[in-house]
Amino acid sequence: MRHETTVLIVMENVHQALKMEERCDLADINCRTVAKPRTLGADCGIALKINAKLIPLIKKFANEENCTIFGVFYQEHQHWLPYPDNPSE
Amino acid sequence: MNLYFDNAATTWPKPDSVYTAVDDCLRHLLGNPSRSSGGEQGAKLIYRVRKRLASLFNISNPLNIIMTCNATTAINIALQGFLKPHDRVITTSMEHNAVCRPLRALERLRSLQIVIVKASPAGFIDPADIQAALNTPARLIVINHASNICGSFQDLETIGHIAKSHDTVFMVDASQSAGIIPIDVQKEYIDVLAAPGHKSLLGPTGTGFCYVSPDLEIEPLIYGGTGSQSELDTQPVTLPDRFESGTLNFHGIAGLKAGLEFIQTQNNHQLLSRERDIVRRVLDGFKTIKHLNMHGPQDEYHRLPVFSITAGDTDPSDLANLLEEIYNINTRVGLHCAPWAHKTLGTFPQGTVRISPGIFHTDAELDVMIDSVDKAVSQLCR
Repeated sequence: MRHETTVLIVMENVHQALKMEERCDLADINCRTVAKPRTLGADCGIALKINAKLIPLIKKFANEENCTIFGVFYQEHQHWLPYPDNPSE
Repeated sequence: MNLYFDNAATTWPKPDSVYTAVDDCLRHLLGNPSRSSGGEQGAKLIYRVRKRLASLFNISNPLNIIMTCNATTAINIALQGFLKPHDRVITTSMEHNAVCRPLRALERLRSLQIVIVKASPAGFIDPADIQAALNTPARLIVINHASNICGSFQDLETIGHIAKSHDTVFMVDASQSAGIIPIDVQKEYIDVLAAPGHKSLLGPTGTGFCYVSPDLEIEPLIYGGTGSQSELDTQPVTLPDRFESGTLNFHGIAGLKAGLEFIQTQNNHQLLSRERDIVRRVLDGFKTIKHLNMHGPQDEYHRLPVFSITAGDTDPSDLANLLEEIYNINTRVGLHCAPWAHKTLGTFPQGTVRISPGIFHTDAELDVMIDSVDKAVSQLCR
C-alpha cells in the first residue's frame, strides 16, 4: 500500500464533513466530498476523498475542529477496507 | 397600500436578495439537504448559514447552532431539554409567552421553582436583582434581551458575568435583538441563545436557531431521522443532528442566508445606528401629541424602536382600528403574547397599540405614521 492511495475519510456526520472540507480548502489542501459508499455506513452521508499521505494532517484538523473521524478506508478489489494505521510501503 | 408598522412581529419588507434566494432554492437546489443524492449543495448552504450565525454572535463552533422553525421552538428545545425536576430557574417579568408558557408547563410537570425578577415600570432589569435572586442557587437564568412590547433592552454582559460567577447556565431570548444589537456569546457568557430568523435577521418566517454551549447536556425535544448514523434506532448524540430530526426548512434557510448576507455587508453598527435615528424621530414626534400615553422607556437610551402607546383612557383597539381603517397604518394591538411584561408596564389587561418601525422605513414614512397617530389620538380624545 502506498501513500499515493486515495482514501475516504468518514466523519461523524455531514456537517462535520463539510466543516473539514472547508478547513482543507482554507489550507489549500486537495479534498473532495463524495457520497459515502453504502458499505461504509447506513446513513445518507458524504465522505472526504483525499490522498492517504494527508491522513495525519486531516486527523490534526479534526482534533482542532472538535470533529470525530469514524474511519479511514481504501478500496481494494471493489471493496472498501479499513486503512491501516501503519501502512507498509 | 398600507404602511406596515409591525416589524416586532416579523420584519417586512425583506431585502430583494431574500425573495430571490428562496425562489432559487425551490427551483434549482436539488433534493433534501444531507440526504438525497445531489443534496450536498443544500447541506453546504445550511453549513454556510451556521457559519454566518457563528460569526455574527462569536460562536466558536458552527455545529453548536441548531436550525429551528422559529424562536419558540428554539426556546422549548433548551428549556424542556435542559431543566430537570425541582430545578430553580430565574427569569424576568419582561418575558414573552415563548418563555413563560414552557416554564409554567414545566413548573406543573417537573415541579420547577420559578423566580420572576421584576423589571422597572420602564422595562429594565436591574442586574443587582438577578444577583440577589442567586443568593439561593439556581440552575438557569433565562432572560429576554429586548422587549417586544416597549423595546427596552437588558445589560447582557453584566448579567452574564453574574451567571458565570454563580456557575448558573445563562440563556438569552434574542428574538427582538438578534441582528440589530451586537451579541457576543463568549464575552457575555451566554450558554444558550435563541432567536428567530424572520425578524431582524431579515429571513423568511419558518426560520430560527438555537445556539447551545458544548458544555450543556440537553435532551432532544423531537426524535427521528437525521440522515446520519441511520443504522442506529436511537438518536445521535452529536450536534446539530441530535436536535435536527426531520427535513429542515431548506428554502427558508436559503432566504435566511441572504438576510444574513445583507446584514453582514452593512457597515459596522449601521443598522443599529439607523434604529437609533428612528427611535429619536418617533420619540420627538410622539412627545408632541396630546393625550398620547407612551409605555415603557420615555427616552432614547437602551431601547429599540418598539413603541407601546394608548390614547387617553380609550380602548387600544379603537386606536389600532382607526389607524388601519382611516390612515392605512398597520400596527398590533393587545397583549403581544407577553402578559407578564404588560403587568410590569401597568398596561394589563387592556394592552396597548404597538408600533414597530423597521430599518427600511424612510423618514417621510415615519412622519406619515406620526402624523396619523396624532390625528387618530386627537379624534379619540376630543
